[in-house]
Amino acid sequence: MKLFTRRILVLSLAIFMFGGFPQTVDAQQTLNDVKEERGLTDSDVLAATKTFMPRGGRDEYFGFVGTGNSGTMAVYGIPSMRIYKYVGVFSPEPWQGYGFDDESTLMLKKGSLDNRLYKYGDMRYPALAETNGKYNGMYLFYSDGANSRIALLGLDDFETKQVLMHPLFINAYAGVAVTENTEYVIQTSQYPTPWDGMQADVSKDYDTKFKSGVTFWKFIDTEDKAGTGHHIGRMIKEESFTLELPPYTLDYFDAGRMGSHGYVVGLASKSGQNYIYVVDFKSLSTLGTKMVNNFAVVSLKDALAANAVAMIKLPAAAKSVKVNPDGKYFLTAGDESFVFDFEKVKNAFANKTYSSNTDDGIPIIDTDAVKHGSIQLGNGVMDVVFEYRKGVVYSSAYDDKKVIRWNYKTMKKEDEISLSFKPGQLMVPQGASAEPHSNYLTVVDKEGLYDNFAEIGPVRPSFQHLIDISSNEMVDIYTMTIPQANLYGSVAVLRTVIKPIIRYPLGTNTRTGEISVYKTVAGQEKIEREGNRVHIFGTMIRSHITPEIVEVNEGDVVTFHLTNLERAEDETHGFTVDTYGVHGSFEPGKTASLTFTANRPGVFPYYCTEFCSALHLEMEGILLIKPKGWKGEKGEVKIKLTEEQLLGYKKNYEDKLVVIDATQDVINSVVTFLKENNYQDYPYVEALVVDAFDQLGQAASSKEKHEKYAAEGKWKDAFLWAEQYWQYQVKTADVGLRAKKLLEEKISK
Amino acid sequence: MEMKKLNIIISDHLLFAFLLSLAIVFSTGCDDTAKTSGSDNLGAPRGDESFGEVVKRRGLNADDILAAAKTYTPDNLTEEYITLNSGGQAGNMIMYTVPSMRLVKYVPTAARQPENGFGFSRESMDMMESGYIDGQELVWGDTHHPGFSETEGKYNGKWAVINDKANPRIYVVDLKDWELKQTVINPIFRSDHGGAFFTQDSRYILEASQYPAPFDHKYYPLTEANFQKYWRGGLTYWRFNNETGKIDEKNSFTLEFPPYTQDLSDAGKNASDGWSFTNSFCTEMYFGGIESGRPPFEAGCSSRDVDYLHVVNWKKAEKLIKQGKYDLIRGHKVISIKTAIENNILFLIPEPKSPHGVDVSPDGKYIVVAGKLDSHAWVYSFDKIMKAIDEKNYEGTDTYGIPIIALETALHGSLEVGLGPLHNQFDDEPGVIYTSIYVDSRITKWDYINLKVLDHVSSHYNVGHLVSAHGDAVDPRGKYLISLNKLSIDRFNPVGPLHPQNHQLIDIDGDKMRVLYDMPLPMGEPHYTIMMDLDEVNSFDTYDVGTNIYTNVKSKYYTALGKESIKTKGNNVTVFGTIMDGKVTPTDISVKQGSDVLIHLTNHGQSKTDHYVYEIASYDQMYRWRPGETATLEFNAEKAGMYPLLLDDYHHPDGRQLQGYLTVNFDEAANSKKLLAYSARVQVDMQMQAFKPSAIEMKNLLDGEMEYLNYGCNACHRFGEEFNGPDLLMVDKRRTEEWLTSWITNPEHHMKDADIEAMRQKYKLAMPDQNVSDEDVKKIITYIKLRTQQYMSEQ
Repeated sequence: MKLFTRRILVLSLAIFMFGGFPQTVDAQQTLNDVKEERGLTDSDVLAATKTFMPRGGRDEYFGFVGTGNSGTMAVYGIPSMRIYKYVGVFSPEPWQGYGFDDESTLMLKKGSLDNRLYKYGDMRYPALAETNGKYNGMYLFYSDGANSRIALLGLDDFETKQVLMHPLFINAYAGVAVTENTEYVIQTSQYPTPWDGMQADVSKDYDTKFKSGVTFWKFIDTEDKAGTGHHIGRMIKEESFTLELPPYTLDYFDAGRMGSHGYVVGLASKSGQNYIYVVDFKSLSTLGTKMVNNFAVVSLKDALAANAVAMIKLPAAAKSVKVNPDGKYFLTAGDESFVFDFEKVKNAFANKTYSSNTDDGIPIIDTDAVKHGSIQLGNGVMDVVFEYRKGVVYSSAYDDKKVIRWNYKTMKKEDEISLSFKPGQLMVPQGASAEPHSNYLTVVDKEGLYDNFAEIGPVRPSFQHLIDISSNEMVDIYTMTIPQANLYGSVAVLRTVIKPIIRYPLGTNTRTGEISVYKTVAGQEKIEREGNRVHIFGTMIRSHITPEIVEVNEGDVVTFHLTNLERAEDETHGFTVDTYGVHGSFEPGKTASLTFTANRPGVFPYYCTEFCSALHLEMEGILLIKPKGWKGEKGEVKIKLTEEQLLGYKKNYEDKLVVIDATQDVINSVVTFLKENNYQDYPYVEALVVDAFDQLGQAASSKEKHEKYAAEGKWKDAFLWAEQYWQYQVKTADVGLRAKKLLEEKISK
Repeated sequence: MEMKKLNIIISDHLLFAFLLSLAIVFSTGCDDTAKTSGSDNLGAPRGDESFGEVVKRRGLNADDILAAAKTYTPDNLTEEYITLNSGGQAGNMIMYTVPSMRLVKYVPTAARQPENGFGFSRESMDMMESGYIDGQELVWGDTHHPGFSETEGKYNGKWAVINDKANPRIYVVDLKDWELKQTVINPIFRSDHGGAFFTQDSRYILEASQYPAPFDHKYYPLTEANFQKYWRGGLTYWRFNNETGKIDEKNSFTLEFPPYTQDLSDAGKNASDGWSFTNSFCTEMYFGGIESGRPPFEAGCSSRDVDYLHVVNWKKAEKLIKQGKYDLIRGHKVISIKTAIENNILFLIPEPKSPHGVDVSPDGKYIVVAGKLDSHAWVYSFDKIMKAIDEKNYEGTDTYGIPIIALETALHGSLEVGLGPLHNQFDDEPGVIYTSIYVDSRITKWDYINLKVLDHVSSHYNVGHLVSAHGDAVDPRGKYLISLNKLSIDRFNPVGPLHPQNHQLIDIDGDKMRVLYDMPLPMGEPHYTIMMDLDEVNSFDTYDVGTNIYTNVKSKYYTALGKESIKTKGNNVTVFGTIMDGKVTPTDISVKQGSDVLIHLTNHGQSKTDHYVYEIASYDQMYRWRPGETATLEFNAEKAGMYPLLLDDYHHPDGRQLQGYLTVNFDEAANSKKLLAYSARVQVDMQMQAFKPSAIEMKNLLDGEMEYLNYGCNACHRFGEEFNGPDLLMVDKRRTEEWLTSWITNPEHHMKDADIEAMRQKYKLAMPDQNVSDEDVKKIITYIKLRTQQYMSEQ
């Protein structure tokens, strides 16, 4: 065997360093050739140029889409319509370790009423946090229509921070709204149920035992109190309350802003009669409450006495109701679409000019008295959205396959576009805030009946079209597919409003935004045991997990508390123990924990699940689980080397030192290049250089060790530590070369 | 409406002249202010824009416009290819279409997926549970390498398989409906990586282990001697039926390998059919132990200059199995290294250090290996390997006696392709191959017969695998290549510390490769991708009415229209129902609390839009019924009350429609059981870590309230009212602190007390022992006092 003597392969780092193949613009194939070959029209090419994102380009808007029963949020870019991320919200999602690591699992369980990890949620209409009616880019809210929960996502890191189960509602409406300064996050019930957890007879007890409600979750924001770059706003259950309503089926709703701040308008129906309910929650918040299932409830009686709730009759069912950007009107979408004047509604409240009462005693405001106007736009009108120009809105007519642009002030149709599909929910970026933008309109196509669509079996994606509304003529310019989403509404915000972090301060528990008590720094890794409880405090960095060998006993309850020591952007590590079903995702700086019972003895490799560097596959370890009553001897870990083997290692060590010197030359030349070209002027390049030096900084202790072992004549150890030194050099060179490549791109401009 | 004439400069000549005059230079987009409209009238309508104005506003160059035209796929055009990607730690498979690079599907394999119901129906749970290893619940996996079934080395469009590295399993998906049909557990591996790859007629699926472990699944102390004696790698040959799409576990076998860390594999084809090739690293048989002063795995596992390519004659191995020359390990047939050597079926050839891809050329004559820590790609000649074997021309054997063919004997040649070559895909032009270069972040196009570099293209950061259409089959299609970049750093809008991956579509039609499109992968981490011509796919949209989609047979729970029923037998309630035209029959279901309920529904809809989600509000019960499907919800009606039964017409934008109510009639015994189960869940959680919400939430809690909640005391107790247990208001006055401490920490001790027995009779429930620590019991008592005071002051 010539294991350690072969030297036929030489790693020649230098060869490719300076030998770039510059890409030239090659006009051998012209646009006309492509058009002809693919059968594109001029308008197709124009649409392509409006949506195609050149390499590295940034989309103008972040879109957040309701994914229905998927229970995960999808975020996409407009106009490229590429999906950037799915984030676990109501459903566990293993890629992110959501509902798999202890931190997120506990967050989900403790937010439920019965300490359970619910498997899914149904989320349809999101709301972004607002300041003065404008999106502040910090939080996103979702209501779970399936398991009656409400969720808060932080947009610092695009993670779910809070999920609370509603203490009263069995069935929540899968949409939320926020008030103009996010004082409250509003959630309603959908189909009425009793709140006492007891059976009831629908035919006899409906009016007495079944209830609906509107809940005002108190939201409190704190600016970065934890010092981790996180905005830690939370919904506070103890300061929230629910308005009790008779058994109406509740649907889409919205909150007033500016002049109408303090009001909620929503769709309600009962016994075939359709209404808009109007709630003056400013008056409600001063009323006394009673505790039902540990949650504050304002009774209907008190609300009526305070003149805080009224109804407006609608002749037919509407599909949505939305407050306009300046808060002066609210509009319904339906076969007859209504525009209501908020000022008139407020006056009706103030003067108690009610035409009658519902059976339940809720005052009814006369529709004509508060109506600004109504219009018939077509058949199957599903939705209405606002844009930049005052008074301009878009409505979708499902059965007519049309989107209509009209003016709710003049009550006139302006334009329409005939579509190849039946349009559903609509969205204009920022259209649900006080400052709508224009240019883009998204339209949901629930059917997805495209003759040419790829054959992928019965389960097909959801579809959403991008309509260009920048000029007088509306043009359908892109068809987006969204898998794993039962598509409904969405919201979008200007890209620059959201300012995400790219790494966590070391040791962050990302669910609380605070430094974890299990944070572990390099050199402080340890294994603690108390009875059958084993805590492993470990770290991860390219390309090893510390500790690498862990031995526990069968039946032990084991927790790996791991901290990702990386500072480099996108340098995420994952962790799992083979066949034990645990998984965590560790973004740079994050600390998370994985707990399991070591109930099966044997040998279980563990490894990094996220491809992190050239030696990613070597980022592994072994968990040994000793069976109960094990009697065997431990034995000597190392095999004794023969003299010949020892000399082989000596030779290897000496060869390695030569390679180390050569590699250092490469690193030095890269450093020279970077310095000469002012790398620090380019943040992305600088970040890479910092990371490269981080890697080299790790190497010092390996050098000490290989020199020490060499001095002692322990050639195998000396060689292995020299090898480890070289690994750090390679990582340094790897990152350094990337920095160089990027810098070359920058300075070539 | 009549389309307005668009102001497009159609002449290419003029277009390029125009672009040059604009002198817009390609930008990498790191400049955060680029490519959005100005801030004065942000979001205002832009008005009519000419083609030139759009190009200028968006900063496009001529290459961008060509790329846009090559990828933009309006509704009237057909996509050309479909890709199937591993989802990695998302535990699924990802599909997108080429050239538009639009995501179209996540095929569930290992993890629950609510949107299409996987892991929510009894039928899909049967599928999931068939993959539980030694009784371990596994609702997660790490899928790595998908493979399409083949006939004569060509994709036959029938089946796809993929391996799971975390839980050594193989998943089989039917391409008629793209649904999971079989999960097979590897009985002897602990980890796998080098699969799933089909042999050229799909007779076998290859699955190589990754991290070695004892085959017998027993514990051995970790010593270098034990590691070499008991730890093993291996390559499993799963017998596959191309017609039924089933893996035949009984006729499958594993070839034992030394405890090297085996990596990717490929099956021989054409000339080399009957053989298979498997990479390895860590042939040092090194294991780390930083914590005890040993150098880490990464140092010891890459310290040799070469690793070994494992060459196996599987046709002969199959014969050995027929002859009974195997050992049974955990019920599985294993050919030992010894038997393999004696029968001349296993050979090693040195290969470049830490290799990843091993790829057999379309004609089967060459095997190309790329090693991450070497700058060369190595081309082995199958003829030379056969000649060496015929002549028994070996340079020696490894520790286990496996013959080693000298590198120079087997080598056709090597070529410097760049730093960190990783994986190869073939072109339709013979001899042309593409290799991903990890460290240099580029793709090298080269000629593996004449050994010369043809072209390079810069990819984005950290390219891993590559895929070209049919690029691992005997008939590669050329045209497109996709670079699977592991990092996306500055390529997309920032979405927090966890980034998407970046797949770049590359045009390989001309002499020069050109990057066309950057696609973010929003969930999961694709490791390996396969790409098939859409013409080869023949999928359907609907099932025959009554189909169990996981078994493809008519369900015994199929219910005809008009034959719906609810049957109650003891504690079991079985509903046989139907879905038709957006209505579920029966509408209402009434059960006693604590009943075990089965709801079998048959979707009689037969149009491709007849998809329905049926759910039970707040019961965590839901499934998506495909057209014609029969599926079952199974649950215990643990909580009493009224629960809306909802139906969502998936392909209609109207919301969920109320069908009726699930009435769960209160039952005292069942309610007690529910509370005890709650208590048991709390106790399991207490082993994890004490839950601590953020400071802002804590501020609203009284001292000790978090502990009170964490131990689940609120499941039974309230203040000021009786609930499932006694009212705790002023309990601190009724009982001494000493008694309360004793009662909370050791309820068993008090069970004989007369007053406790009376309470037990009253509430039908015994106080559970929640294993409250001494420290926490003090906090809970503090909370009881504070809450009592607070309550009294509120009154």
